Amino acid sequence: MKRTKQIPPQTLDKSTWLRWPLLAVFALTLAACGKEPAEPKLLAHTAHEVIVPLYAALDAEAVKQRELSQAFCQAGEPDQQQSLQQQLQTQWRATMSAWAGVQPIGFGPLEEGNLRWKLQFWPDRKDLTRKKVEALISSDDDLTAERVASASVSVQGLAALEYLLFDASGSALQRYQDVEPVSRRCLLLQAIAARVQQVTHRLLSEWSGDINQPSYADTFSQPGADNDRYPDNNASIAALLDTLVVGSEVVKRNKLGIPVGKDVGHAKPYRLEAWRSQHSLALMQASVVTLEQLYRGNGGYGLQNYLLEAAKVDAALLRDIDESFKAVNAQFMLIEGPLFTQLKQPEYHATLTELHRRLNVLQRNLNKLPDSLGIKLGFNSNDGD
Amino acid sequence: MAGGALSVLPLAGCGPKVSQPQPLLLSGSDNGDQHTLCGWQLGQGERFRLPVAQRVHAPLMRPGSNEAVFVARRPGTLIYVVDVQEGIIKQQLSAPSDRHFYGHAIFSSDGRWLYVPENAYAEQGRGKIGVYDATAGFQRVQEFDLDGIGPHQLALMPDGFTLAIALGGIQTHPEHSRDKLNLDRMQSALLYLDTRSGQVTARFKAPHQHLSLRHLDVAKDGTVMVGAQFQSSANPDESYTGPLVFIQRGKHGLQALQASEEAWQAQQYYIASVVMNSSGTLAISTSPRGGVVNLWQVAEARLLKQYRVKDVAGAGYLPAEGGFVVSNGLGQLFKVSDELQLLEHAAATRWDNHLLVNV
Repeated sequence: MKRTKQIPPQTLDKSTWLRWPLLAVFALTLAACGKEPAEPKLLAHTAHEVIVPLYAALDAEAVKQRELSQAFCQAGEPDQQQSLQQQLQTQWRATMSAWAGVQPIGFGPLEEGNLRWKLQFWPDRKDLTRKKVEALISSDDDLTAERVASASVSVQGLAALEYLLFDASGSALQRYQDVEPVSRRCLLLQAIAARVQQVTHRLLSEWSGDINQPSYADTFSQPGADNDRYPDNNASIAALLDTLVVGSEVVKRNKLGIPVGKDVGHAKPYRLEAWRSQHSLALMQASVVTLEQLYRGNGGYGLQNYLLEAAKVDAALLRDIDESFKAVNAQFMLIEGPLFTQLKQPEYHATLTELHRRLNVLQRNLNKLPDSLGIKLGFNSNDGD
Repeated sequence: MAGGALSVLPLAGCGPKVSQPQPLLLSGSDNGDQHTLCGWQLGQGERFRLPVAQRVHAPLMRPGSNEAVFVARRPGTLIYVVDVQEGIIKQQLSAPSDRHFYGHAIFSSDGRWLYVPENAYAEQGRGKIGVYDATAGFQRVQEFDLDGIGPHQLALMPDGFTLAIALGGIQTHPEHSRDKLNLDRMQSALLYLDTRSGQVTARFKAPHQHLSLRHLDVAKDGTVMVGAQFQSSANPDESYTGPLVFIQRGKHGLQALQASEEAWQAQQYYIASVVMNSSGTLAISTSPRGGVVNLWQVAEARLLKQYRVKDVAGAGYLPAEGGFVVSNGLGQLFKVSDELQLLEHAAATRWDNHLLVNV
């Protein structure tokens, strides 16, 4: 309505008058949009424009990783092999970063299909990955994607690939070369890479749907009495808030707090995610980027808009969240990897402790959102007996 | 309110005929900030939802009656006696002064005596079993001393006079909310108590200093299954990747069920409920923190399946179906057998820790 009033009278010439009906329709449409319930807009945008692209990116990287692992294993010359292993390491980092972008999303087929650990077994305090990967290579089993799918989660997924690509001993090229007629290490590498892509493909297709099944994106964004998983808008919004609250906690505690320890003497570099590849810092950032996209809406109608305009959450809290995201990002700019070596250096330890403090502020602020909407998360998991 | 819900029932007769009445599930639930006692009939939905002042933990039926008992969880001090047919609270019992309940209780097989774990917090948290006479208006007539701290879930053994009691070992005091006061000297155990003498007749220590045995179930053959919670806050640097569910038979010590370290880790060192089927061949355990349900083969002490269910806690057995049922904080009910199946959803309901199936 405002727009029609803003048109100065002198511009209303004949042609304008002819357009009036159109303008009126436009104005009505605007009014209708204004009244469009905020929740469906938020949920549809979040599912289709934030989450599905993250899964698409992960699957695309996993395809490249699968192809490159085949190329590496088919390489004949040691020089070529070395170069392809380096390319594959770079590709693994890209796949892993894409996974870290998906990792905080705490609902959907990833959870309901119990697929999280099939993509990444972590934390792995006792290095089961090394034990079980080497045991499988030493066994007589056929090393196929099917065999990997039925094996322990510690030999499936990206952590097992990391071992095979980055471990000082487990990734050594001569260990790929010294077996005739075919390297079982290479067979396993290809089988795991293929298995990873089967899982990422399944996740993407379940989120985006096909002729045979409705998409999880629609399940999530179209709550209703006949929707068992999301019977009302609050159930979907709760899943989103849970992702922000738990996702930020995982970054704060598991990815940073536990490895950093209470002081430099208690730093635990082997508790870092992806310590073998020394890719931990990038993974932490990738997860925070996703949390921020989920909050800000990645250029569209996101949770932030909804909370401010529709849910009327206290603007001061939203300002705090906004600032705490900025504070975390600013601190990331001061840190250079790899964390694996920095953790033990006093001059860096203070910078990391400050990052931890800022992540803690962010987490505490996000944790105020459920209450402000009258939503309770993790009833039994947070308060059992 | 309950009457209103009941008056709707005849209408159900207009729908397809149900040959057998479906089991009634009992559970505490929270709806917004309101604690309630809930009766939910599978296939038909809510039978009653009764607002109460204290958050309850585990319901149980009084044998040979329509009465259910819901016990407030720590540091609660109330027990609600509910007529599940009428959907009304018949009576409300209070703990003696300087005592609170732990959310669990069990009846004698004749339904006369109600045995209730209590915290004598003015006596350094000594664990007691209060004995209440249901035939005399639930008057408290006696108590048994356990020489230990934190009795939690208990069950009646097939002999009809022995109680199996999970002694959690953790001292709390109402003035310190739910803070754990003795993690450095915890002594959790599975106890057996003879209700005829009031004496503890056997005591099986938890296999790890910071493992708190909290929940249990008993099969017809006397096999006891116990679920544990690891108190990681005792020492943040200490990690435990071992078993969380144990079997105890006869004079043998606790026997750990067999699962991979990854499977234990998926449970986040926390078991909420353990339930066996009536023959004691299969069992499930739930872990809300890990969001997983484990299906166990009991005789071989072996993990059959691990399912993912967010915020899952309540568990029961459905004899007619030969499967288990679990509930969660999202209001969902799932059937657990060789597959996982969503049964029903209760709107605006967060199912609390424990579930009872009344058939």
